[in-house]
Amino acid sequence: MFALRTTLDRTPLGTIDATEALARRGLSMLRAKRLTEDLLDGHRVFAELPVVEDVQAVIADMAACGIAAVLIRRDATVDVRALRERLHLTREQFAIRYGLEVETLRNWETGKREPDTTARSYLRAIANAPEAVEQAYATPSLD
Amino acid sequence: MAHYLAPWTAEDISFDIVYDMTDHPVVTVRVLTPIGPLRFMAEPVMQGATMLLKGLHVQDLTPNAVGMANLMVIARMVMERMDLDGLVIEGAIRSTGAKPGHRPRGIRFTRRVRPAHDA
Repeated sequence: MFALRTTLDRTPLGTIDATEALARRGLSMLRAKRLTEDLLDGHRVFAELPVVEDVQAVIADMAACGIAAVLIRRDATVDVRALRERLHLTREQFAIRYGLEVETLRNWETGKREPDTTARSYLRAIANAPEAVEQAYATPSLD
Repeated sequence: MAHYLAPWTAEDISFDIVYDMTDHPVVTVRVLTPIGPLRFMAEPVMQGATMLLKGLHVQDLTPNAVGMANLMVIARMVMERMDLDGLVIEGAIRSTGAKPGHRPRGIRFTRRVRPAHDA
């Protein structure tokens, strides 16, 4: 799945080229046109493209139309131990910071259990923006 | 830059459907003009002898390159070629040109019926 939004560099949106680029990758012409129109409306849109010959080609085609495309891989796994070590945290620190059970973390790291889809998404969010997730998770102060 | 000064005539332009980019209800048309090819994409709906072009997009032009006078020439040619009494454009939000981000008002073109000349 690709997340699409208009670029901030004021490249004019090539609406017909964008529609054609999306339709070429398996969307109906109407669906592709609607997605492009949603982008024109200022929305961030998500496109599940049936045919992706090359991720970089999709990103380049979209960029030429004034659209920033980012691939979202829902099935991507996260190496939990590597993530934790990258953040220089012990299991306990990582668990407290992101609201996880130490035992669960241990099970993921040792391969005893696999994170489910929700947990994978959460871990990916941590991997992409550890501080923002920490802030979002933290209990807001009452003052 | 003569194309900015002189309005086009019907002889200056021609159009064809781009079949690769046409799939019901979306139709894409390439119009050859003195300033180069333009592509129009819309969802046409017939209302009697009037064609309503919903969600029209135009591409391959610099902002304001066509102008209302020349748009009228294109509309008139389409109406004549397709034997329409009217053409109504419901544009999509502008991506370029005047007021990007703004949804233009609908534009209605009607075909003038020319009285037959006496022999």
